[in-house]
Amino acid sequence: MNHLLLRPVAAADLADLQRMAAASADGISSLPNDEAKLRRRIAASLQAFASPDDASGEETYLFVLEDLAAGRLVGCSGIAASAGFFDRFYSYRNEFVVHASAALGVSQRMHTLHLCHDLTGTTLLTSFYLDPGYEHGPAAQLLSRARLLFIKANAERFSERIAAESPGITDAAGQSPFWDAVGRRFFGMDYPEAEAVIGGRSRACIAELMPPSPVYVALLPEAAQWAIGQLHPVGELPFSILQDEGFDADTYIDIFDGGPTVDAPLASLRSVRLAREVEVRAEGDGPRRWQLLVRPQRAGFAAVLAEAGDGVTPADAQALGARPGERLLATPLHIGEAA
Amino acid sequence: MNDIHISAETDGQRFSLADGSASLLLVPRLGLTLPRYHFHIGRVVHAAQDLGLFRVQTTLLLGNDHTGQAELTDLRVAQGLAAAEQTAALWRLISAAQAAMAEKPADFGDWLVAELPGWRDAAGNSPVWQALGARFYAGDPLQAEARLGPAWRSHLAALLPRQAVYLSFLGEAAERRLAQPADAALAALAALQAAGFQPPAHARIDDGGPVLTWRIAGRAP
Repeated sequence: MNHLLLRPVAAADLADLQRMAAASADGISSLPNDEAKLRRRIAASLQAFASPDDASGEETYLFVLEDLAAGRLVGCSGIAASAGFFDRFYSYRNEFVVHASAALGVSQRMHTLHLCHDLTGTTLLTSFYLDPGYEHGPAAQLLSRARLLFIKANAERFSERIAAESPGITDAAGQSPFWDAVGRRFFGMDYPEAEAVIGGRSRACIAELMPPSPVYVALLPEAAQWAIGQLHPVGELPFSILQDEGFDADTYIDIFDGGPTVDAPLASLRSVRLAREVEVRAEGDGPRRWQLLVRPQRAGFAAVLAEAGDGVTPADAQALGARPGERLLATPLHIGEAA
Repeated sequence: MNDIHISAETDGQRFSLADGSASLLLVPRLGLTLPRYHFHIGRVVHAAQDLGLFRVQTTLLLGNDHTGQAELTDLRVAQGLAAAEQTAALWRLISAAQAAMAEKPADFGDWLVAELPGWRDAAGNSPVWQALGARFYAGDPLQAEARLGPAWRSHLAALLPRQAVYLSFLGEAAERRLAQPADAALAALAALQAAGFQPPAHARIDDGGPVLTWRIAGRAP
């Protein structure tokens, strides 16, 4: 486990990113399977990590997970500083309206979906990808949670509210029952085709084509009703980590595929609540347990999983190259997750 | 000679043919005690030039658009008559009602409204009801109407969406049958059209039946 290092993406990582983008399911990852786009993502991230300027909100950060023992990259994850930076960020918000008639003896809760911009400007967790061979280990914890400590340590560059989109249910042919019942009526194209059209375009301009009035879930076909808030299986691992962090998954869904969009105040998230500053010392002390250790500075950010006591020694965090006197951020991991 | 008789009733004037083959009720102003609801059939264009998309959507908006207007209701005609005779009989009564309204316009609303029952299949099912109302009221609409009378639709409205419903959500059968009358009301539809009623811009909120309107000539819209 000590052989896993999370660090900002570097220009030399392009080939690895291309491999990961190709391996991640079509239309599911927010990693574009396109060399020019990946180059731009890398350049944007290099700029975001290095720029001395104040944050404008358009920054996107990309992290890669390196297996130092195997000498290769095995995953990536990202942050978009401000959702919908250039435009509005659309979601459907679940709302319940009670329709009642005394004369008819009816009072019922109706589930409706409201097109909204609530999450515009929140910080988005994006681009999660992990090689399948690493899914059963703790690598996913490092890949997902380290981002939260990065945000905490550089809070002035991010929103206080964090959100993350998860892919919704699609069938074997890539068709989305939610899209078929909602989006398709306004676009006249199927989901894979729409995804291709959407790629590179602002989702806001697409959302303008959707009806502004609430969608009554009862009017949708059963398959679409069932798809609301349902995850695509590839999203289960990162989603379970977000749930464990304390993200709320019941309020928003994606306007296209109905997948859950989670959100939470940064300060309420588990890894952030339990984070503390530790100083690297020559001698360790306290009971040893699995922790996420982060060098928090924007330039030079890095994160590892390590078994360490209350005092962290250079040997505990070898992959970080931590020196005595250096201050790190540490947050405990569940034992079960680190096993 | 088949004269037209006019008699006063609680809600308005009944126009009937002397031989009893047809009658209707002219109500001077509707919906002033119990609110009356209709769906306005609207149109929304969703266009995105750069995507080459131009989609015309039909919307249904629940409202009380006809409140205070005059109404022709309770149209009855002997079903034994041939369709053309039914239409002719109703046309005479509708024309007489229009004349009565034109004679004393101050006594009536600005326009005349006529609701017809919506289309049903041979089994008596209304595709519009099945696609829309049934999702909001699980009971039997015919039983509810039998129990509550015409007020049933006012109570049903409380259960329906207040905001625009996109017709395309309701499926193809409902889309096709919206604002189409029941077969038994085709003669009445023809009579209303012959009397100058406009094509329906509204529909009944339960079975999607057409709601037609006619405006007295010279009255500002």
